[in-house]
Amino acid sequence: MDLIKMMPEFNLFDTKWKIHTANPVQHVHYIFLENNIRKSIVAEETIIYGGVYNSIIFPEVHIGENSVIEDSIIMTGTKIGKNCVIKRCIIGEKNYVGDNVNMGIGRDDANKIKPQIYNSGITVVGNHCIIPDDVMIGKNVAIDSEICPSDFKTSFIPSGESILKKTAKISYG
Amino acid sequence: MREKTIIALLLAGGQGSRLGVLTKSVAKPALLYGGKYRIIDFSLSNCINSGIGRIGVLTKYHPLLNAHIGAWNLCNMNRKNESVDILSPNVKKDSNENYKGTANAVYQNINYIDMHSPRYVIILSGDHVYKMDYSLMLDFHIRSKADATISVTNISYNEASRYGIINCCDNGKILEFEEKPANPKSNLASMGIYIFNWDLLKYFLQDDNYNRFSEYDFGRNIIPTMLSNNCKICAYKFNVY
Repeated sequence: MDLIKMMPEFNLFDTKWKIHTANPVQHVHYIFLENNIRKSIVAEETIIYGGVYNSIIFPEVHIGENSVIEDSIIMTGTKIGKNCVIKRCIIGEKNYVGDNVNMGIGRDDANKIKPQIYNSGITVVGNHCIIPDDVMIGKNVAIDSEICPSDFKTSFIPSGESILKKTAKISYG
Repeated sequence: MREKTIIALLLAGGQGSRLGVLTKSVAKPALLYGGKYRIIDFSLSNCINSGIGRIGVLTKYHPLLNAHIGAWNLCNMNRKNESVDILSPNVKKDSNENYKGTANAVYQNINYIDMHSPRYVIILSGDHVYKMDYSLMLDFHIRSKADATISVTNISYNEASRYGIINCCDNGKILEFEEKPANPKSNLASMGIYIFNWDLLKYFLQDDNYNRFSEYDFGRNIIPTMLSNNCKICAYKFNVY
């Protein structure tokens, strides 16, 4: 998150040492409300109806009405529904988060399975997941890639829990 | 002229287990970073900005990474004598061989490197985020008349047992290289960036490949063997982010 400081130590905007990337021509981004984005990096082709604060939003992200993203990283192609509150989360690529989802709430308990990785209060979601509507997820929660609504046994996932897929994974790259 | 004297090889096989679920289905060099980049962009950009136009990426089959490098090649390498090539393990008729270690990955691509007849080879990691001018390191390597140069950085003693630790004398000549020592003698850690004189490296790679007990690793095998053969290996100190 150092990248979103006014003068970051590792400056991506340094014209003398340009960071090159594969740069497909993408659409412009669309922001519905004034003053609903603060201190954030927002990439192309994003559609933002909610609020984004202190966050990094990758291309092709869609943030629904009245949703608030705070201190989070939302990666390429993720769709976030309406009335969601997402705090201190890293959400991977091409996920779908339903409506009224609350992530990053509750106590700061370290993850029970991998406390050495998930102990700083950040909840992490892998890639290609579908998080159903009306779910509440705590801190230091790890949600595996390719998780679907049937993997959620309850609508409240307390801090430090994990939702892991036991079946073999397809590698996307 | 520099393009013809040096070739860069990026080791991009890291799975990144410490990043948990984020790298479960994606290779670490293909992980997204900073709004629109992937981690491998930083090493590739460092090469371009340092005037190194011939780059080989040593990786297993990772569709997303391969597609990204293909698009990167089209976007940024539009001049003559510049390209990023994906170097997958050499599959032979009677064996389905994989890269057995970092040194073995380079060994399997000796023909590719010889095709470009470079004088120097720079070995990089494809999963580091940093800015570094490799041309300054190459100048240091040539100036110090070394057989190999390792880029090193200062770390705290508490972390030293997690890295390859370099013990060197005042003029930068490396005396000892210890991979993850329990009781580190210095706090200079290897950054995993090496410049070798290609002719010499080729000899040691071929020699290492016939050693059944080798782990085919630069830090564990090639560098200690070179040191034991009285090769001059220097440490290049690098302290910027």
